[in-house]
Amino acid sequence: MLGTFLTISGCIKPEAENMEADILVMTLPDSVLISPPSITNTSITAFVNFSKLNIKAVAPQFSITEGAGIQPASGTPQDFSKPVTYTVTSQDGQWQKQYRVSLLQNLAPDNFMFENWTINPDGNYYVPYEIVEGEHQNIWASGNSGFSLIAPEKQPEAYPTQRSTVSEQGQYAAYLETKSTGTLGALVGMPIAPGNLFLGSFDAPKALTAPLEATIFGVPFNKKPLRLTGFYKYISGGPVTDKTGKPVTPERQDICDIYAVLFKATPEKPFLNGSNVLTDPSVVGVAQLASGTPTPGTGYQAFNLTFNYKSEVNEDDLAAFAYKIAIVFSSSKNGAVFEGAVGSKLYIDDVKLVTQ
Amino acid sequence: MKRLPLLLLFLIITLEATAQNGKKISFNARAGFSIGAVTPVRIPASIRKIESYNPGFLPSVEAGLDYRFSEKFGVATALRFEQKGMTTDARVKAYYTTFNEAGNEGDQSVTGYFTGRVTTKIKNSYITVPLHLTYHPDNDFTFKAGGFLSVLLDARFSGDARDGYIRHQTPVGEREDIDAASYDFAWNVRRFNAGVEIGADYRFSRHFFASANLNYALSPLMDPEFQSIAFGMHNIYLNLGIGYRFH
Repeated sequence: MLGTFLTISGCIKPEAENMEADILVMTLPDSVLISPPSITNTSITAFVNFSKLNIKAVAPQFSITEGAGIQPASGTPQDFSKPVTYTVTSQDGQWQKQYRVSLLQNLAPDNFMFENWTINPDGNYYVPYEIVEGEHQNIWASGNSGFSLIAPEKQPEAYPTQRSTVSEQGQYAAYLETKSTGTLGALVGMPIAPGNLFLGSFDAPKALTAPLEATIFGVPFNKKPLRLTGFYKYISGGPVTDKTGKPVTPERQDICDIYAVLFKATPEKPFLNGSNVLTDPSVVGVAQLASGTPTPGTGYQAFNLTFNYKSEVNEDDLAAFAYKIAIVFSSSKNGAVFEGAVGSKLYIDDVKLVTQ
Repeated sequence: MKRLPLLLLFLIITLEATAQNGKKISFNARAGFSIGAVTPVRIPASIRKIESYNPGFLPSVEAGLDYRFSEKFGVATALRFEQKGMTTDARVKAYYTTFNEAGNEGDQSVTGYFTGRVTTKIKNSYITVPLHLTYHPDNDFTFKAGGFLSVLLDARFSGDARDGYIRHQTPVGEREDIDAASYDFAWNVRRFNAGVEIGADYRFSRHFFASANLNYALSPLMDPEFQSIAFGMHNIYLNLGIGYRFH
């Protein structure tokens, strides 16, 4: 009896070589970094102070999965005037992953046309990007990567956050739709996935275990915003259901949410997330849509939201990029806690931050 | 299942009546329990440590028939109801698997490489027909060697993964932390199971004997198209029992 057990235990093989190929940390001198780098499964984005480095020869250091290798080598100077592709090869040599590493200038854009979209290689979904002085800035994020894991559909059009040709200006608009996550999503208490789009990054590994913390808000900003303007169109999916998939009581109709937050980042708390973006003491100003009820007719409607400041903005700190801006759109206002209505649709286009 | 003992009793009584005619044929009834594992031929490197193993209670009952064609040799067969299963908790690294919902055939599932803890609960019920060549060196001992064919009556193969993370599809796919995720592969357990079996009986009174059988399934536990665990698994069980021989 014991013999069988011992036989099994006795057969444990020596540990195999690692198959993973992750960049865990990217290090640059502190004086160069404006904000900690955002690392996803295939990309790294960091805002740097261009006046303090030669962008044509920056030598970031990488710490990677144990035993893995990286090319170009960690600590070798590279020309970051365009994104640099690093290839990480696993310890067992069988697996490779490419990272697109972007060092962005401290020039956050203040108008967002949603004309430029790229397909994310991890999940076959759309992500918008901005072009600032010829530089591609991947500053928008969504919960799509969480959806890619949990939902069976894999076409870009099946994701909660995508682009639409129904636009106010130009070719495209951002299109957010609250989707069902199917039986598997229901099983983990996440029956819906709201369409969301925000300035920041999405910490995909936390999508199932700490979804509020997975949405990381904020990009460096050096101007004092006065108003958030733009165009939107909203169709409500109807009665709101909760995270068990049942209608909430009393019954209420799904509404959308549009807001922008200026906050003062600190080294201890460089970003806000879904749990504290509107409530954290570091928030200095908020502009928010008063009512996210459906827009009348079939066309777009303008919004013009004034920033309400709780505290003074320090001009010197502002100029030094101590502040960050977050703009957040969601097709279900309480979607972050998995309350919403499947089929709620929010179109967003031609968004501007009017600054002082 | 409740009818089975009754059926066996009936079978035994009928057979005993016919058995009186020829000394060459004898009948027996046996009850026992099994202990063993569903295990790969070699434990894959992705399983780092077996934290716990519980064989559970796996009863078996059988009605057997022996035919002696010479003084020392014979053949034996039986009709046996048995269960094969175990519960294990293992620490795994880059263990290829699928998380799904019970009874689901895979359209809603997450597949990839999981690192963390995996609990596996297996309990499969079979009707088995063994066929043995028997050797009778003396009056007390009988040695048996042969094979068996089992038909699945009921399958249970489920478990959960926790305290870890999965890499989507490949070891470099998107990483997702997992607190708890369940899987159920009962649907994929093969209807038939066949393999080799050896055993010995020791007669300790006129009618009673103790027996031990060791069987190993050559056919894998799971359907050939089952991909959600990267290695083939086989039943290997020791069955210990007490029998009654009718003369």
